[in-house]
Amino acid sequence: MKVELRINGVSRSADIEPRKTLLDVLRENFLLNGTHAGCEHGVCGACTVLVDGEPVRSCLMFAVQADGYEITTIEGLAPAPGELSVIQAAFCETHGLQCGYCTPGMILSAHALLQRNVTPTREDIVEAISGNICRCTGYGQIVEAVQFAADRLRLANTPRPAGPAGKSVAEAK
Amino acid sequence: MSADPATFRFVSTNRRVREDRRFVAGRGHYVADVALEGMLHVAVLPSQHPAARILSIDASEALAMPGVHYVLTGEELAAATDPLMNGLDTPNVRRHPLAVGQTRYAGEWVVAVVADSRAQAEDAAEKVVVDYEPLPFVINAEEALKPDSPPVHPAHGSNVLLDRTFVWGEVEKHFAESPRHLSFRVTWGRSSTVPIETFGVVASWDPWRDMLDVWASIQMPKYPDQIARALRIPANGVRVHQDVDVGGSYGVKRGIKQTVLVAHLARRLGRPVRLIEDRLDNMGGGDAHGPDRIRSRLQR
Repeated sequence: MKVELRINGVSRSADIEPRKTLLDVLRENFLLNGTHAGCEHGVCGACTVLVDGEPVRSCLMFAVQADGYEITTIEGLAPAPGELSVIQAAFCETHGLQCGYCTPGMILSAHALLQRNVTPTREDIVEAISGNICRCTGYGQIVEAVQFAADRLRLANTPRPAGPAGKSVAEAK
Repeated sequence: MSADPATFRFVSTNRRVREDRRFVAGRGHYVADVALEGMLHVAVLPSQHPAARILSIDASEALAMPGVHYVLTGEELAAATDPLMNGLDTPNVRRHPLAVGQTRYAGEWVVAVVADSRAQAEDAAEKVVVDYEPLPFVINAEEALKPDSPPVHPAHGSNVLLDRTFVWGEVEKHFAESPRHLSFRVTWGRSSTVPIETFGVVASWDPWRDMLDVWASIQMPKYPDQIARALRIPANGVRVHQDVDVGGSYGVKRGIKQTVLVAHLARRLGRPVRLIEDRLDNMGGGDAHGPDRIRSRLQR
């Protein structure tokens, strides 16, 4: 069955079995390996992608159902090769990951939250990532990463008093 | 000795993890991301019985399915490989990647199907007909110790694999001198660490160099040695690629039986073979971690 998918701003077409999940099509047909298979029944969130900006489990969605929607995978977040988005950089800075397997899904869930709310409370953040399981971190540093990214997004382009040279926002706080 | 913390290079300093950059960008290199030319895919068929004799296996319908290359049984695999190491002096307790003759737990892998895609292998696994004769089973550790309990490994003669007393210090003397004695019983249910990434392995055999190449979600010492031993090849005939990121393990990823299984298939079929456990494979027949445990301290 022919499908026309818009992935990370680029139109891609494929001839696929109707039973094939969006997850398998992203990985196998388009070699977008950043989307990971975890539980394969919709409870772990490792396969999260954004469909029209909303987090969706790609293991529970057939690729043919995604026809015509705007799909964002983790590969679509970095602004340029080798350059991290604010949220991606925040995860590195606060050590919001260890093995990295849940991380793409976690970052996409956080991205969806911060797209609509750059002043999230701790509860907002916890709610936004509540569909993503992480076995390494214990979540504390992930919540910190999202909070840190929100601060940066909010404070970007805001004039600040001169501080000690070479300090990041996190250190200056 | 004291030192000014400010002079430490690593302790209490802001440092970034080298691999984080690629992980947050979705550019990790996990085992499911390894793709080799001509690679085939494996699906396993688990036992539905806690204990059963395997009377016959009919794979004719499965072999006729589209994309199917091979159906491997425990008999064939056991003839071509040595039992997996279990670390005990129990020569009649033989552990194999696929059940041989009988199954010993629900979920134990009985047959492996190889196809061009995992989906085709799963479709064909459904068509494999295994004729079982259910056997008595035991699911409680204390029941298993009773003499009339069904033997899990009949050739071994009992369900006790190890009976040892570990003594530190003068135990009897200290108990005798102790003014108070506590009596308690603690039980742990079966448990396991559950990484978000299941275990997976890709193996490729080079018959011109007698070399097995392995990519796996592994971080275990002695992994190549145990594979080599089971496959009856020299230890330096196994090359484990260390550029594979591991999506969590927490101690559970041993992967010996899975690797022996795909390595045999790669050698037999002359093509790279991969097995990525799905969650059901992983929970039912993969490397579970903690068994039932019972600990009692009885009144003296």
